Amino acid sequence: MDLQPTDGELVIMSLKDPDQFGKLMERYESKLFRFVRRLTGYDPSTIEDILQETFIKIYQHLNDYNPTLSFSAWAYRIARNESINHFRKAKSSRTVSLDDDNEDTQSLIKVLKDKTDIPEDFKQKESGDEVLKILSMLSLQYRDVLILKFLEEMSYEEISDILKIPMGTVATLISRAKKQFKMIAEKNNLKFD
Amino acid sequence: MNEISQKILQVIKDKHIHPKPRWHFIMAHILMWIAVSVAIAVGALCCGVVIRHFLKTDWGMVQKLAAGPVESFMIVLPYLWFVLLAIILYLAKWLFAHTENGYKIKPAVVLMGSILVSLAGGLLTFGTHLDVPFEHGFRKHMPFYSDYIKERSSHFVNTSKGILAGEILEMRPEDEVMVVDFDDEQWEVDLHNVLPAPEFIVLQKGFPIGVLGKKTAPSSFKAKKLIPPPPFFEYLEENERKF
Repeated sequence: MDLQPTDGELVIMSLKDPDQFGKLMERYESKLFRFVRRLTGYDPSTIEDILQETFIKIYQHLNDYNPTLSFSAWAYRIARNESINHFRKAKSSRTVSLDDDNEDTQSLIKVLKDKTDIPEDFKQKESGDEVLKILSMLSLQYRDVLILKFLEEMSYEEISDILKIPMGTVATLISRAKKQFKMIAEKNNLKFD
Repeated sequence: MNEISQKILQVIKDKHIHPKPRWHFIMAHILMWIAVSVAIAVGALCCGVVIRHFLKTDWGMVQKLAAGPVESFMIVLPYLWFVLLAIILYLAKWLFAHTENGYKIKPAVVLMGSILVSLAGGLLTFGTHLDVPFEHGFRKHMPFYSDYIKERSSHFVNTSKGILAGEILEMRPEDEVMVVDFDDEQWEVDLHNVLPAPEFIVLQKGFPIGVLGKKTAPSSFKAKKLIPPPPFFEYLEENERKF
């Protein structure tokens, strides 16, 4: 059985041979593409630009990679920072983008249903638009933690490493994000059957 | 390999992009820690100045000036140094949070730690008199600070309540000195009842002096007791002058 090299091993190999970095990029390309799309709502071409900046930065900073940190968290951190830099340069506001097939909406609604008091029976399609609208109304920090926790399925430790905040703060932000989500949902009369 | 990855790899090769050398990042981390250390050291010096202001105040004199303990405290409170200390502690906390693993520690814990370290450092700088040249440097290079000192010191001039503090202008015969107070008024001070002077008072021109006594005429004061001049006096105490 072929054992795939770990991320840490690929980092070491990439320092000697750039082609090995290609393997690392392959591993994270689609994940980071989806993450940047969820964060920014940009078109694919712009997302590719951000991804290029991200991977170039990762490559330039390979010698700064701390093996005690998961490579995934480090890569997501850089991708998030590059996305924010892009907002600032473009002076554009962020919109939220969820998957077209409603997979994201379903994931988020499912989790929020379990943790808040949103009733069981509601129309998925209508609620999908509402969820998108409400997510857009949340503050930046709350939106980021909800996306990272419930859509990217990151652990608290990984979110802490991505956002560079203590784990306790991550838990607090998630809790507040869900409360704010519920509050805005009620204010905007989220449609239920 | 996917299209995007191939494209990016080609850009890396075409533009001859290389990983930055390790020493570059080691230096950056070291510089960050140096910044944190400098912030903590300056915080300790500020704390030392605050401790000196409180411990070297003659609270008996302050109570004569103030209506009660709260007002006494407010007269002595070196609020400028507290503001500076607060700014430096915030900066130390921010810098620490931006070190490699500093963000993992709760901000409240970092802040509490900074306060405790500053306090311990403050006691050390106070004990070793390191806070004195620090404050002296401040007085020398920060123009607003002299005005601040003068304004604070003027609280300690209340001849109607029997308190006089200032600088010795002239030594006169028959146990008299000419003193200019912090309001720039000149006084003939009769020291007849208080000599020999205690060790914290140097009876020489240019040295500070604090006096409890009674105003006997518009520009005359009879001393009943010599007291330490305010610590935030522009002039240093004798054993601090060497700095």
